[in-house]
Amino acid sequence: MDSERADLDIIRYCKRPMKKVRNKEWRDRHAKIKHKHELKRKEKNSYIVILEYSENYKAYGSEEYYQSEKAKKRLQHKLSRESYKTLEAPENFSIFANPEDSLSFFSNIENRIEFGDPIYFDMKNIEHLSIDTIMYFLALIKRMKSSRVAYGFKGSIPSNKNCRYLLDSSGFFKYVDSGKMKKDLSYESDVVQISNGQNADPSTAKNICDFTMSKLNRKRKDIRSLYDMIIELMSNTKQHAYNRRYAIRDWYIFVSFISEKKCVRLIFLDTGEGIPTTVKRTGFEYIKALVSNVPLMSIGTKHTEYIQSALKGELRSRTGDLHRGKGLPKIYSFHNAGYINNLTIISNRGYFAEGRDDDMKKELKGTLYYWELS
Amino acid sequence: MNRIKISEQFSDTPGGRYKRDGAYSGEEFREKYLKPKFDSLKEDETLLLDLDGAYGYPTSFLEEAFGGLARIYGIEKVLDKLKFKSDEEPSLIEEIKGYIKNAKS
Repeated sequence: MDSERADLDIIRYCKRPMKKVRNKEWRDRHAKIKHKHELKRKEKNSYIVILEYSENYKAYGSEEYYQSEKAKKRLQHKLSRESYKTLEAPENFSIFANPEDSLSFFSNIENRIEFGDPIYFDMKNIEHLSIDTIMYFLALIKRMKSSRVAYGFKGSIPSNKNCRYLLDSSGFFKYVDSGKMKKDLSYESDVVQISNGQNADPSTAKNICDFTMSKLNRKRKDIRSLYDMIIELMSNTKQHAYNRRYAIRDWYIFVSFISEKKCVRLIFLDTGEGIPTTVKRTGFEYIKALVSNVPLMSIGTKHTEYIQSALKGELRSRTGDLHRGKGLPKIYSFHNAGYINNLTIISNRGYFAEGRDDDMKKELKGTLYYWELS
Repeated sequence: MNRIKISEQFSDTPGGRYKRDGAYSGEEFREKYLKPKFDSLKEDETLLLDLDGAYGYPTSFLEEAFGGLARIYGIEKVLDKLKFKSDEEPSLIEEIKGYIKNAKS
């Protein structure tokens, strides 16, 4: 009798509609807790940092990237399932030192984003990281933010201590929406963290000059040329961008003191069109430039040659005004006079540096400058 | 003598070429300081520009300010009326004169 009653109780209990709801609630709650723990575990093990997350359809900006509605929907779906496409950064992640692999990594990102894939940047295995790459990375993120493209980024930071320190000290985390605590490293007196802008910014140039004067024990009149060069480069970013495709014309600058060499090194990124694209060409040069883009045809003018010509003042700016385009020749004259050392310029496929005059296979969108001052 | 000390009266951090390029541009200096002073000069007067005390003078700033003035008033008149003082960087004077001489519309 007792067992029959017990069976009935079980049946009654099972028939209760609330039971199902309670189970579902419990399952959901449990799943959420499990997911949270999983995220925490991942964060602990692989330094996950959420860089950006956006479905930025309506933003103004460049028409450089086109993305179909289907690709946007695909992205939303994949984001909801957390199915990220992993892209592994090269071990030597430096545009100056390893341009082909580093630029190839960036072009892969753009391709995947255009296709509507959320991306996971795997930067764990980076052994060598440089500021130029960090700047270019920030510029890419900004370009994406301002374009009509929907995107989702996530990533890990390098396991290598030096690379992690460089990311922190560069000011990278000021620019990305990371869960990571933003460390104030302004007390690190050997660097001026990455600054960014669109106009010629005399106050930033002044800060950099003050930093240089204090580190190299110079007087104000000794660093006048440095001030001129910084303002010229900042101005060039805005003046030499004609194409609406490149709606985002920013500059990024980073300065650090190298105590071993007792020099100040400066890295400047201009996200405009690039010198080879900007210079005014004659009809013949234009045809040569078209031919140079065809694989296996080596008769076209090299991008490196355009940079060299622009430095020597042989090429006119595209505005056609004779009084313009004097900034680069002045920088080159400072280099020739020995005021600055190791001048290196990368622009589009051109790579100008001591002992190198070959074009790169991959293209950099914009122009990257490097020099040392001792 | 009429005199403008750029680092004190305008800025010790001159900027780029045009006003749209940012603060303290050559265009701004020419329109707000240089041109009004130049216009007010009498027949036998000159204008002294003191260049000392600034962080630097970018090429585009100088070209737009002084080359720009020469494009308005003519090369001869500008060379005749403007005098320069630059103890910290004497070569700057010749550089500016070069921009004036090469100013073309």
